[in-house]
Amino acid sequence: MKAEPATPRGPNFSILISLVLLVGVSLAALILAVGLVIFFAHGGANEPASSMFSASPHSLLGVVRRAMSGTLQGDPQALLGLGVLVLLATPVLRVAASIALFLAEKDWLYTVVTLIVLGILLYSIFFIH
Amino acid sequence: MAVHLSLVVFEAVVLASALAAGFVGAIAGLGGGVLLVPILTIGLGVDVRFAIGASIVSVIATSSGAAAAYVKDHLTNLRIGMFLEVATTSGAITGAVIAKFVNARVLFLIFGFILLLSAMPLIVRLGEELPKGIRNDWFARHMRLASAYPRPDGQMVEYQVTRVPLGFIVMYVAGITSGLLGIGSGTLKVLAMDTGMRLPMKVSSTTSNFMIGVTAAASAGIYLSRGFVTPLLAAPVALGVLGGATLGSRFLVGASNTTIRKVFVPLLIAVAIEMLIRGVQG
Repeated sequence: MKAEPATPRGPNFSILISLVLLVGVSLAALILAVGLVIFFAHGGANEPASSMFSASPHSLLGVVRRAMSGTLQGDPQALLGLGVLVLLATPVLRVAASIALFLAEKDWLYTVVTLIVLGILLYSIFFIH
Repeated sequence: MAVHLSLVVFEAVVLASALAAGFVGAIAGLGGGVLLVPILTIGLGVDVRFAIGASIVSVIATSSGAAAAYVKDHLTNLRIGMFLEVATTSGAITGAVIAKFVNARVLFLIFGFILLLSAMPLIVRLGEELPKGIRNDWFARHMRLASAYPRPDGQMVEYQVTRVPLGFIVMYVAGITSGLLGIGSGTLKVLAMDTGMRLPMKVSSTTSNFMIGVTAAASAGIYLSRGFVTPLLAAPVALGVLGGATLGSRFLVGASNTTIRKVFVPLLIAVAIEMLIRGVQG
């Protein structure tokens, strides 16, 4: 029995998925690095490290809104939060990209499998607290 | 405790620890979370819930950073990864839902024992480059899971896939531990594919890394909305792990299956003992 390639249509498929992962992770790393530098440049370095630990629960949309508005006001911690959100979005986008690519392959079985994965993922991120 | 250090020193220590955890994690097919949580809690005195919140974010970074390299090398089996992600993400939801009702100490003990037992067949087969005489089962044929991967010399190595239902169940359990403990559960994922479905170690390790990010995203969203992801902790952890994972994945592509297994087995035992100790001490 002839073995099927591990990635559909050879290099095209895998390069696009690699690209989604690389862009997402690089963007997140850049935001986090810039955010850390700005934070220390603003003199946040003199606080004790224990000052950062206090939990305040929010819905995910609330977390996104706070990160956005805080970043626009120049708050470096909000910028770091934005970097974390970009990191969280990267695997979700990777799964979404896989759906498009399985569709282009007319691989209905794996289009459905990937849609199920995306549905479960979005449900857990937005509806479970 | 290190949390009383000034923030500059604390961030530098966290960055260095994360770099080391990322390197080892990428080589072994682990997300690094199981290494980071003890470093942050026992080593640096960070509250365990915040340690888990930071580690689950770093797990996404490790998986995505390393996976980007492996996919291009055609080691990752995307169909196997996507099919089994149905199990891991469902498990992650189950884990998050039951987290409020289950005693974590009992679970640490159970998983510590399971991991120790699972290390046995890995030790016995230590040195095996490729599982022999594997035949595709019903699921492998109908889900088209069999494939081939390139050796470092460019030659393609074909492999078949067996005991898919067993792998699927172990993946569901891996998802539960991820949602419950905020780890990537790479150890259980590699076991499901290596020992369960008898995939070549290198394919198991890279496909596991590829899957970890999606499983971790399911739990990370929950920790984020619960308020346990602190950007000032998550940032140096994610950056350090990314750097370490990038170095680790370069090392892996050139390494043989035997070398990977020799790194993975001692690490597996260490993690198992750590879990048992945490289960006993609470």
